[in-house]
Amino acid sequence: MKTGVEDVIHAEGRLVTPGLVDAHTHLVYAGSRAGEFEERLRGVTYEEIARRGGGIRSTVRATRAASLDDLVAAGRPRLKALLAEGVTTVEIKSGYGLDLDTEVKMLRTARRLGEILPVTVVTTFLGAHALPPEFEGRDDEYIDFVTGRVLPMVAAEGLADAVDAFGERIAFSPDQVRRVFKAARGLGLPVKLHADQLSDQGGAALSAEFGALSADHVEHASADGIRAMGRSGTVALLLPGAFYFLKDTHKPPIDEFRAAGVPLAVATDSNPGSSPATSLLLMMNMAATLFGLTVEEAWRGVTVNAAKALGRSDRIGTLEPGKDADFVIWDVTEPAEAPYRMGFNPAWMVFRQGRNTVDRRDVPA
Amino acid sequence: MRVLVTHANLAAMTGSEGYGLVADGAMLVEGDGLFGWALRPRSRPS
Repeated sequence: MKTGVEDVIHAEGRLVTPGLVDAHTHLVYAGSRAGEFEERLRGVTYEEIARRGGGIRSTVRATRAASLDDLVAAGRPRLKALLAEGVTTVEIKSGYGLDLDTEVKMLRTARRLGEILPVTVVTTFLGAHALPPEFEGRDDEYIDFVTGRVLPMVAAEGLADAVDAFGERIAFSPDQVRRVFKAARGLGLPVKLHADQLSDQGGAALSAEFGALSADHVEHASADGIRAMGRSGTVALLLPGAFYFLKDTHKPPIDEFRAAGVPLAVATDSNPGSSPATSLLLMMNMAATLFGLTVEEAWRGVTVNAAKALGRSDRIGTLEPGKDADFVIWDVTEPAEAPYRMGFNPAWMVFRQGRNTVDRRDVPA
Repeated sequence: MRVLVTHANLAAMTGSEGYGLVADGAMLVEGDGLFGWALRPRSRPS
């Protein structure tokens, strides 16, 4: 045994990977959208629900009414579910406050979760997620508010590691997104975009124009936009949970992303309305079965490429000397076994920054 | 705390594609929470 080594783990041929990185979540929120789930099962569309004040807005009402402690209590079990499956880094967005106090409260909640649970939390300010009711019919004024008041305060307090926006017909136009991105750039914050999820809004090209870390969803990304992403190094962040839950049928153009050399990442999009998911392993399975990713692409999508999507490739995403010792020992031997099974968690041991956070060595097989 | 993992099927995810697989590999975690080294195959008797 090497001197000074306190624990020697015989993996006995088990698979060891980098700790998983969930690079797109909205897991801090209050309230439940189970009722909308029932409505959608009866045929009401996500866009229809959003237009009449449901969807994101109903979560906004509940989140504004919740205290920081309430939000910590609500988010904690969602995050713990991810951690149990080997997630060691998670991105958490704001975007259910849409006012100064609640956006700040959400980001503080995310930071708090990173303090009380063994996970690295990367925060994203998503003030331009939806139009709050008090700004009805005044989209541009809301963007003024986001860029002129909320974002500067969030940046001054160091609460956000990046800035996101929802570019879509039911959310914000390309010009409005461009204003948010310019404000972020002025504050030295990297950007990312909910891009081309429901329609081609030029989001892929816009993301590339601003050197975005990632363009997320991208089901309707155009060929020109994809080529631009390839040139800018922007990651295509695939969210099969939302695709599945919304019963979407328009798949992201995976072959075009491959041809353009765009890195592919996969995340849960954990949120109450369109992807109430807390299993990144299941998302790997869905990315393979629904979008046609190879098993290898699915694995890279939740490790090295997810780290790239967060701008953290220097610290996480691979097993390399000098990086954070975030890794998972899986109770399987081959990479295909983990994403192949559905609803099965083979995480045997998890380490985050060298510390053991999950240990199932004594759990009988 | 230093942790040594041995006899592992390491998927390091290094390189531009693939898993970066090393069968029967090992890696050391240093006390500061960083990988000291990894991808070092266990030496075998010849």
